[in-house]
Amino acid sequence: MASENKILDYLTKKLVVEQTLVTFRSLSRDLEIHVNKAKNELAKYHAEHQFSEVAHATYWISGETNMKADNGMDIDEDEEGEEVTETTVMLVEESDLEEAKEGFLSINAIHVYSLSPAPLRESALVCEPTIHLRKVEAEKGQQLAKLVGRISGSHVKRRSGLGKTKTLGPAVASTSKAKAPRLAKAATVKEVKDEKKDISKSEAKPDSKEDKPKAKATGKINFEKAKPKESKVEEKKPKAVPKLAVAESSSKAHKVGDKKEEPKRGVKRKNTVRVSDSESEDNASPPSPAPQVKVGPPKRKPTAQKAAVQPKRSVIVSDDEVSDVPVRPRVKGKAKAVVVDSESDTELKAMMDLDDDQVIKVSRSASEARKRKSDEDVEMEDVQETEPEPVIKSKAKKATKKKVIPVVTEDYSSYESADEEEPEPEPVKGKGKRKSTAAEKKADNGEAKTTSKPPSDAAEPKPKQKKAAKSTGQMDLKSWFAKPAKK
Amino acid sequence: MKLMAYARVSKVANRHSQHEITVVKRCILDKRKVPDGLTDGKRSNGKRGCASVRSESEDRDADAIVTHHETPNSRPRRVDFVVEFPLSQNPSEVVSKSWMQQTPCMINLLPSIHLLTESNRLVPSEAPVRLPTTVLPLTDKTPSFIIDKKNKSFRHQYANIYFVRLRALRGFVEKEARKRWKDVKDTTEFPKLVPRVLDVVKGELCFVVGTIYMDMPLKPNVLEDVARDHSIPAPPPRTKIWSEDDNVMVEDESGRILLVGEPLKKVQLVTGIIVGVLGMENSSGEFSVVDLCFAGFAPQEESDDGERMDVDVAESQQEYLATISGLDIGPSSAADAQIQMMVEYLTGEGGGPDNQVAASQISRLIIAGNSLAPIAGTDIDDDVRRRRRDNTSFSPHPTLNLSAHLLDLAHSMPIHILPGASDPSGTILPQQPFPRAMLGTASTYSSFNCETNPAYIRLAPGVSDKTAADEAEASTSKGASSKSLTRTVLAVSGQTLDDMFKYVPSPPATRIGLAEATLRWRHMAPTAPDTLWCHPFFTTDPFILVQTPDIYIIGNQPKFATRLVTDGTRRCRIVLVPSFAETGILVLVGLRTLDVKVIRFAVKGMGIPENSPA
Repeated sequence: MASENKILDYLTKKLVVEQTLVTFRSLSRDLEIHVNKAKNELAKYHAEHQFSEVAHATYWISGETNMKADNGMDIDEDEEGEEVTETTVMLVEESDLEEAKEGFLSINAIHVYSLSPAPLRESALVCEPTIHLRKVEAEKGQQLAKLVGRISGSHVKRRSGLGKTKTLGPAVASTSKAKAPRLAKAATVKEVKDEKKDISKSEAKPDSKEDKPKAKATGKINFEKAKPKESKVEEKKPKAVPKLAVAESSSKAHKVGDKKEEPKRGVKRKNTVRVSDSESEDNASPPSPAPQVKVGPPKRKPTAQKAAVQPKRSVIVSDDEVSDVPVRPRVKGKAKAVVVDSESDTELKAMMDLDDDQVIKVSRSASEARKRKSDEDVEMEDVQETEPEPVIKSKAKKATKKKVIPVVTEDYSSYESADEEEPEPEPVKGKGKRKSTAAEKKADNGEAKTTSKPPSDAAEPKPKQKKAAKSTGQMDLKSWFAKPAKK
Repeated sequence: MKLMAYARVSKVANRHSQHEITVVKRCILDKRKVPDGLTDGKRSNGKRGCASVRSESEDRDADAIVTHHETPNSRPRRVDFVVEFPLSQNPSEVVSKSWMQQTPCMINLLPSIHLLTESNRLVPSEAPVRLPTTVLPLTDKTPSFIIDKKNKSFRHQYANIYFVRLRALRGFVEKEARKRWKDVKDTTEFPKLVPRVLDVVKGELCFVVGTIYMDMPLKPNVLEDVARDHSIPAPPPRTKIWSEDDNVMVEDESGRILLVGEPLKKVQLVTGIIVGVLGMENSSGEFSVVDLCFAGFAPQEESDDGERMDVDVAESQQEYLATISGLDIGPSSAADAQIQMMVEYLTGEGGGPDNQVAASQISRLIIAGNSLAPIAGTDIDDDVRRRRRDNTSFSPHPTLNLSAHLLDLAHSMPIHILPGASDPSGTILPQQPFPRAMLGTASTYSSFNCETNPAYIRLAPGVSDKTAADEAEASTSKGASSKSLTRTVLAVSGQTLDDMFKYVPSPPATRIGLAEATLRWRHMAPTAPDTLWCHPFFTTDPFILVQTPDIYIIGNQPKFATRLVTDGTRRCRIVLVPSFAETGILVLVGLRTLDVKVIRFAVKGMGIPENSPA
């Protein structure tokens, strides 16, 4: 049978080639077979190879032990009174098996727990494969759990309030993946990078090897059995959308949308006038509140609007462009990075997280620079300029926001829950102010400043910023109108 | 390809003695030299010798392949026959048919051989489904310990707690006292209740109700702390603050009176319990005690009284509640393997089919505190950090590690997690729940609950009302009984008991005894404002037990212990749950019968302090 061969291949590869430990769970998860079958397969393999010293077994024994005898000796014998049936579950290395069994009064289960290339002397080693397993599990979701024989019940529920669309997809994606963003939040951007390296080091090493065989294997199985579509999907484009399997349909849609959008944005950049482009870049990072509403049409509109607006803004252009200079290389870097990492979706995902941070950072820095300028300029210019500006601003912002959002929202949800959603109006306000003033700004000397500043500010950006920006859709409009009134 | 099973037949080859042969689970062969001229091996498959088992085992037509190994140095000389046979055959048949006929032997087939071969092979056609239980909303009698905005203030004095407590429990104690002492005949008739401690008349038998205050020289004292020489490091906190010089007093709003007398030595008292004291004031102004009485068990929720008979019937199919405490996941936790085994057990993956069925009966898991190890000192930290760099296999973040385990479990079962003494949570009781986001993806499950430290959880076996109604139609009797059965679980992470335990001399006193006493005192944390830090509640004392719980779980105890306390119709299962990291113990409590099972996870011979029985 093919599957038998596959199991044999798998075990041989793990034990002989990679010299890693295989537990019944890793076998069952990777090849999508029931845990009980996996246990037998391990036993079989072990039995067949017992003279070649390829595999050393570790056993799981469970049964009743005579613990009570040595337990009740203490002072509180009478106090503790009740005797309780005690079951012991023990992990035993092959050579100790017989001895261990003597400690049991009765044994109700015994099976091979793991095979390892060398006798196991450190029990914690059996935990090693789990890191990988969790990832596999997260990718394949509940379906796998059923296949593998994990018990679940009707009272085990997901939180319904959590927005099935976005939150679930990434959240399910994997614990290990979730780790990265969580860390990232706490740490500064640089640290994020480090962290990622660490994690990828620790996991990627074993995993990258494992990933391939696994993917292959699952593919085979699925074709044979003609099983779930998802896995087929995985097969076809494993790097790009393995998440899809887990994500629900709506989120799927989003995802796809994202992917399509990104390239478009790039194209647009080339086509449209630079001004609008840079403008969009700035605003790109802040995610818009309602991506689904009208992703398609508005995307195009903004550029048109901008073009219309341009005459007014043409003066401003130089300013913005300069401030954006740092942005461009980053974006390129992102694209590159994505390409490089596309081998494993994990990394891609991670990359995307990272990029968002950076992108924001940039926009922030740009706006920061502008703000500085604006501080100087506001007083002199505000009277004339305020009237036309708001219109332009709002249009531009709306449009650009809509384009970019989905990427950002997706990432967010992966590690956050409700609390961050509170709107933080301040940065937005600042931005609106900055931008308008900056736009009106004509002084050439400002440029020098802007270019020089971004790097220093770059270190600062926080994920929070994103959120703030995101929630601002109407807020900044309001703030905009409010401001002139004050003055 | 035939699936083969293996058995080892050991034979004591004392030529003239009787042969005794046992078939052990499966063969374990070391590459020992195999002597020539193996008649037995010959007999079974027609080949001589067995230098290479592999080549022989390719001969699939043989009923069984027997190979012969001799252990050189064993005494008496011991010869192992390895019997290899197709799984389709019953092992004992195979052995006797092909080989045993010639040599009269006794075969003991251990049940394990079946588990290894036959039953394990079976992939259950239907995966066992976890028995459901439903969490019911809390009632007034089982309040939530969440400190809401209203109570958040720290401005209040702790005295309020004592005041509230005395007021709340005084009535019960008085009632109990009158019942208990109605037959006491002394000078006149019934001993008189003196409402204020200071109004006690010398030489007259009476009883007073008040709060116990233990005046203990070894008790931590703020004044001593201030006066201490700070150039010297503070002595480590004592494990016991009990001493011979302790004075017991009873106090109420008016004042205190010192208690003396023999009866005090027979009971264990701690600060803060409400007692009634029968006795009289002696010439030196002390109150010599004749007897003491407490509030006694609080009533229990009525609903299940009538159901007990049904309950016992359902024993075989009852829902279990798993509890665990002290996972102590830290930078380098020694119990990693055990934790993983526990997870595998609970998710129904590890073990044989029996284990898996047993696991499906476990309806939910309560983690009673200390899930994370206390943060070690900086020295150790550096050391650990260095080591960590070498060992990339483990996440350096205990929280991530914990949440990964929790997620594994949350996929499969509902979890209630309580903060404990070593967890990143407030020190004062009631400890507030972990922020869900801290525990990662597990928190996306609505069946994953972060609880306060003392926490009441009300459970009903069976599914929630809607689905229960549907099921009730299908199986009326079952659905009906499960609906009316509710169990109130009180879970504590152990600080309350640990603190009380300091007050009492431990040879006579035991933790389980104290735990039981708290039920009689109707107060789960009497030492609370005194030596146990707690929130300055103003209008309530939430630690008063208005209702006796059905299951009382106390986590992070040094040893496992349990007792079913009964008082009339009231019964309460007390369970002291030991630290998992130290003992590997998971405790199961049956929700219907309140019986207890212990499952111990251990590893043997793997460089870790053994938890093995032998």
